[in-house]
Amino acid sequence: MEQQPIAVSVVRKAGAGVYTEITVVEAPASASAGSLVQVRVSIKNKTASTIGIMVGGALEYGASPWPTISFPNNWANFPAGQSYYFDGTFTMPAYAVVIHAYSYYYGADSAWHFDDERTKSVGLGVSEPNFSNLSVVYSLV
Amino acid sequence: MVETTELKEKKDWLVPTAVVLGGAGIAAGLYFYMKKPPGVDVGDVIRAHFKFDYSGEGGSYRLLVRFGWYQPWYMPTGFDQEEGMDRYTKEVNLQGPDSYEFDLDCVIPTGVKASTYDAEGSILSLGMEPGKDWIERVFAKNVFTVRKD
Repeated sequence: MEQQPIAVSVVRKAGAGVYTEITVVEAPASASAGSLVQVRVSIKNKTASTIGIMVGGALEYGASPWPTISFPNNWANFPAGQSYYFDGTFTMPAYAVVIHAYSYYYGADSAWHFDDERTKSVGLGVSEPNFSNLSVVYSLV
Repeated sequence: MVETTELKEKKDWLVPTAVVLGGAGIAAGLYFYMKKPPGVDVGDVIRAHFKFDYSGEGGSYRLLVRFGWYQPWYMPTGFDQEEGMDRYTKEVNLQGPDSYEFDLDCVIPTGVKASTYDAEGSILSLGMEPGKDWIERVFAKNVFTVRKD
């Protein structure tokens, strides 16, 4: 990862996914209250040059302000046309939530600009049955 | 006074060095030969043997195998499935907490390109979308090589 984000030279109106596209928001379909939920947000650089892209996320439930999703590494300089993903976590509340993911690009005015968004629902469920020690061995029959 | 020096037998290191290096070369060659993935043709069957522990109360789940390339940094889900490859699934019914083993046979379809493939083996609940959601999954590198198109 570069030390400084690379800026987009022309800052355009936000919200349309002009420079970035959130392609996938990965999260379990349901999670039990109090469990740590893993989120992965994949973003694509739609431009023809390397730009700085940042991820953000919030949990929609109850009254705003909504709690944010923690992304330990929340930005990167993306080469033209390439996708990258950011991993984040949140603790499942006692409600079903909607993950609202946001992407931002770094502008020539040295500010992050909101660009695209995508949502995914996570239902409140009982604890996912525990699977462990999964191994898969392949052989030619 | 006369100084004396103890005489030592001169050792020839060439032969033992050659033996050691030769042995290491043979071992390395054998290692890479053994690691080479098996070559397969269209119609051959790759058997995926699943083994896992389960601590739930029972239910139906889906086992999934996909062949392609494990690329954790550039693919949204960490795995890029080869387009010509099928998705191999098997529905299993788990009775309760236990260790389980299942076989899932995967027939190499026609039209796949000659290449060496990685594999993804995963467990899904029945409502999950194959390749996108999973409960548990593991990857294996260089599982087999399709010899020719």
